[in-house]
Amino acid sequence: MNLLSTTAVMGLLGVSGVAAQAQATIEGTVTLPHEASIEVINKRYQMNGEQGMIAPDPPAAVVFLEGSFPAKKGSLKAQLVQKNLDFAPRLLPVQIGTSVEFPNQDTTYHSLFSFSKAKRFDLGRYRSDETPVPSVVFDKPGPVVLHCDIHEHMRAIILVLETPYFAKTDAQGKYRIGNLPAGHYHFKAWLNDKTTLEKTVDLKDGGTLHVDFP
Amino acid sequence: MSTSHEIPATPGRLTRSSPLSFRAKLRLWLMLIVFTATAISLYVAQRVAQVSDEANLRNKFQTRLGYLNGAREARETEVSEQCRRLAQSVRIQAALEEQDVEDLYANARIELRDVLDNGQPPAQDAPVKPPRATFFRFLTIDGKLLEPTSSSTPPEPWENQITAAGAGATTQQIGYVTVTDTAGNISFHEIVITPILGPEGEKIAQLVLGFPPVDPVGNPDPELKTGLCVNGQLDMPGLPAAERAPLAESIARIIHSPGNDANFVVKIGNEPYLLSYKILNPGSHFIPAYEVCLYSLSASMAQQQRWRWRIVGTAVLVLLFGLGVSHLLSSRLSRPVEQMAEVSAQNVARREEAEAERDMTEQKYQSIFENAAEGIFLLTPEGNFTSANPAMARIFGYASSAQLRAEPEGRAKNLYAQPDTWEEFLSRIQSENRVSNFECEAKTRDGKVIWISQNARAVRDAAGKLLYLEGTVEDITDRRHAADALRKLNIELEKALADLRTTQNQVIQQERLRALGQMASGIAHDFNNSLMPIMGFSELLLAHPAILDDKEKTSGYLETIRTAAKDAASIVSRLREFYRSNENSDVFAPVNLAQLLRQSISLTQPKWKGQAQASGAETRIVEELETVPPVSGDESALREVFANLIFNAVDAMPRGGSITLRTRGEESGVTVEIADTGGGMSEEVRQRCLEPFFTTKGNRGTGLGLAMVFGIVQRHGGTLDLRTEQGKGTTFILHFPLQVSIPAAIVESQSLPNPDRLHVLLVEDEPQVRDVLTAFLETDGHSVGNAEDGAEGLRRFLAEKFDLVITDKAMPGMSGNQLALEIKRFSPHMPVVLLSGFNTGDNDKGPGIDVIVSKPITIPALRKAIRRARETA
Repeated sequence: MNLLSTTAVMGLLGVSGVAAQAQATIEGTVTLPHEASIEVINKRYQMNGEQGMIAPDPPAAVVFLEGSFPAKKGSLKAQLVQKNLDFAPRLLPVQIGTSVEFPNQDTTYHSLFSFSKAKRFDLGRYRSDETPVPSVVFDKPGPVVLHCDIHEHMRAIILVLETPYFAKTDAQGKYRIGNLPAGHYHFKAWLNDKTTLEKTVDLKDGGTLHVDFP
Repeated sequence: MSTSHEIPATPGRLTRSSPLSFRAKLRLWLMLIVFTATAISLYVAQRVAQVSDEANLRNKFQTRLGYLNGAREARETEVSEQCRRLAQSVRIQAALEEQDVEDLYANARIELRDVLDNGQPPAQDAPVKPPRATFFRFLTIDGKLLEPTSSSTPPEPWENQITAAGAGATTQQIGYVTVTDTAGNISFHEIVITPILGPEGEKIAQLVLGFPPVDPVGNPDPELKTGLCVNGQLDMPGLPAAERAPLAESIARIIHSPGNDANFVVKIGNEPYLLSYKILNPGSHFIPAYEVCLYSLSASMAQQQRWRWRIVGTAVLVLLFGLGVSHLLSSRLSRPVEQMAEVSAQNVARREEAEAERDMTEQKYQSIFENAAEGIFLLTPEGNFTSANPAMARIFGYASSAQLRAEPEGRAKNLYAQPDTWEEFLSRIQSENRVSNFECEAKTRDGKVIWISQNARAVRDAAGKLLYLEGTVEDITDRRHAADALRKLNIELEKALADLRTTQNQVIQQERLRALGQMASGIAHDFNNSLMPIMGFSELLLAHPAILDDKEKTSGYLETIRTAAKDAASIVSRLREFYRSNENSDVFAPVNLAQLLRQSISLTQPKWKGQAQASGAETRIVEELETVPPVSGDESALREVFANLIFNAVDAMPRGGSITLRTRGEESGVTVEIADTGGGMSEEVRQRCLEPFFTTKGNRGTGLGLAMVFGIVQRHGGTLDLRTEQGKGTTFILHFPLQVSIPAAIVESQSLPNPDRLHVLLVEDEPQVRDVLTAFLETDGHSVGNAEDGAEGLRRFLAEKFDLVITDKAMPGMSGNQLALEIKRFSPHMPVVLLSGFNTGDNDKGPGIDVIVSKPITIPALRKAIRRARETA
């Protein structure tokens, strides 16, 4: 199918060609790896009336168009919530320079930290009612793995991207990115920190490309 | 032990030796049993003790081990738990994710700070000492060491040991690494490798924690030494260094030996130890580390030894005791047994003897039973034959005893001829329990009537009920017939005898008469002979009174007269002899036989001189009279004897001859021989000569002479012998003992004159007799009153006072007896003496008579009579 879709995309691109600044759109489906639900039965802390199993944020992938684009102006803000002893979302793609807030919406303490090279930070323990809500600016691209010191199972990844053109797939892996500049680009799908799928795309203005990963 | 009789030693019987050996055997067996029991019990006790000891030991050991192991396991568990927890540390995981080794170790140091030994001693009041790790490392998934770049954690020399183990491990690994310190001492550090899992559960790294040598948790047991053995090296604090290497070798050997027993006994320095090893890290990728425990056995062995000795000692005591008891028991038990055996042997012997005897008796009885001539039977009271012998059957005409017994019941009753004989028989038996010589008639099988004599006896049981009758039957038919015949014969015989007697009496009478006649003539003749000297000498004296002056001659003549008179009296007494011999008439006094013989010779002179001369034959008398001691005898009787013999001798020599008279004194008495040279006697005559009425003199002889002689000699207690030879002569040999032992005879003492003077009444019709008696009495000093007959006597008696009465028997008018009666009426105690001319004995005394004497009476006889009468009255 790849070949077919690639051919289709090429065709589309060829057709759309050097279209005027008509925004391209890419849509597709990324086949997501299956992720088992995490058992959160831990002796070390109690779940106050919560279920034994937490249905985590369903796995997703991030697709993004790689290229050097002018950085978007303005302050970018995102939020990574700690709720129900889990991060929401678990995968957060942000552009470089985004300031991500980490509100604690649980009744218990959380203590966020990351050792990732993209950003090393330790927020310490804080409660939900503490102000200000700690936030971190991510200025280096790369995945940042977030851990909670207290809750071993909590794990989130902030994918800091250089490109402003990215999207997170839904639970089924479907995505749609619009307003893409035309051109020849690498189109990547980040599944996990080990797996990044890449496809080259030629975007035509006004064209909608359907790219499926893999 | 004594036996009453010999026990024959036959096979199968107890011999003397058995009881003894029985005791010995018993003792032996008992000892054996005791010994065995003791040995078994000793062995068992020992085994039990040993086993229990061992079990105890093992239990103790195990307990201690268990305690130790428990402690150790707890610690291990805690350690591994801690490691696991630490391995789950988020920061460590995060650091590992970022592959930042430096950061990893930095974070780890913080995370593991609770575990790491930071050099500070633990709090004194901590209840449990927590395990403290001395170092930590991280390994990659394939066991490569993640070296920290900084030098803050210096590398350890044994790190390669870890890497080897860490390769490929998916679970927590526990191991021990050998650490040699600078002094060369080996110590083992515990290493725990825990896998660290990533977010998806995959192993991302391994955490290594090292703990110092294990300090045995509270090991208060000095006997138990524990240590670790890793890779052939032993670390045991309690053990001297020198022992470690060999022990390590032993352990290595033990461990690699196939046997799976975790407990071994090793010898360390000559002392036994119980060795137990336990693998501390089973399933680990590390080399196996063993915990080795040594448990000193010496103490327990010593104790075991002590126990063993104690048991042995006890056993020996028990054995001795048992032996003693067995000895005692055997003696005790064997004694009654021996006695029993002895007794039983005796009993057996006795029984056998008894049986033998019984058999013999049986046989005898059987023989008797079968062969007896009499019938033997056993009857029931109902009349059934329980048993009958062949003779019985035969008697009743049966062919065999079986046939008899086969008869219908009650046959016995019908055997009798009379119907009620059986009842009588039975009732006799019932009342008297036996019947002897029960004679009755019976019927045989053929109906023949026979006579039987039955002897039967009742046999009763203990209660007295008649069980059966046993007895014998004899066929007395013949005997009875014979008895009848005999009786008849007897009657006839008696009749004949009576006739004969009568005839004999008649004959005797006739004979007597004839003899009397003959005797009378003889007597007359002899009397005449006796009278001749009396008449002659008295005439002579009267004719020639001058002779009276010659006192000697006179007394001689008087003497002769007296003698002749005596002889005459004795001749008369011959009559007495003829019809009755009276012993009491003998008057025994000492007599000189020689003198008597001389007297006899002179007395019989007329015969032998006169008779012989008349026929022309000369008869010579030869006297060979020795001096002999006097013998006790009756003078006149003996004179008669001698006279008779002389007469016989003269009669035996019709043509003359010589008669030799001898007396000889001997110790036993005096022997008198009268021998003639006559014709002798034939054998027949010799045998019969002493028989009464046997005479060779034909009608002239009475045949009583020699009989009388023999009688007199017998009365004198003497013997009469005769030697005769036909044609040569006959010799009569008489022997008189010095003492006459005739019980009936009363030896008369010399009659002494009565000392008293009595006034005596004499009643006698014959004047001469009266005169003589008066003379006798007055000579003795008595005064006499006379009476001619009984009446006068009585008158006189009543008129005067008398002391004694002597009366004649035969008197005209009142007889002597009558007079005596009358006298006695007046004076019951008056002594009365009766004179009798007849031959009388004391039996002829009538009532009233005290003494009876026969005429002619001599002075001694009179004296005796007077004395006796006075005594009696």
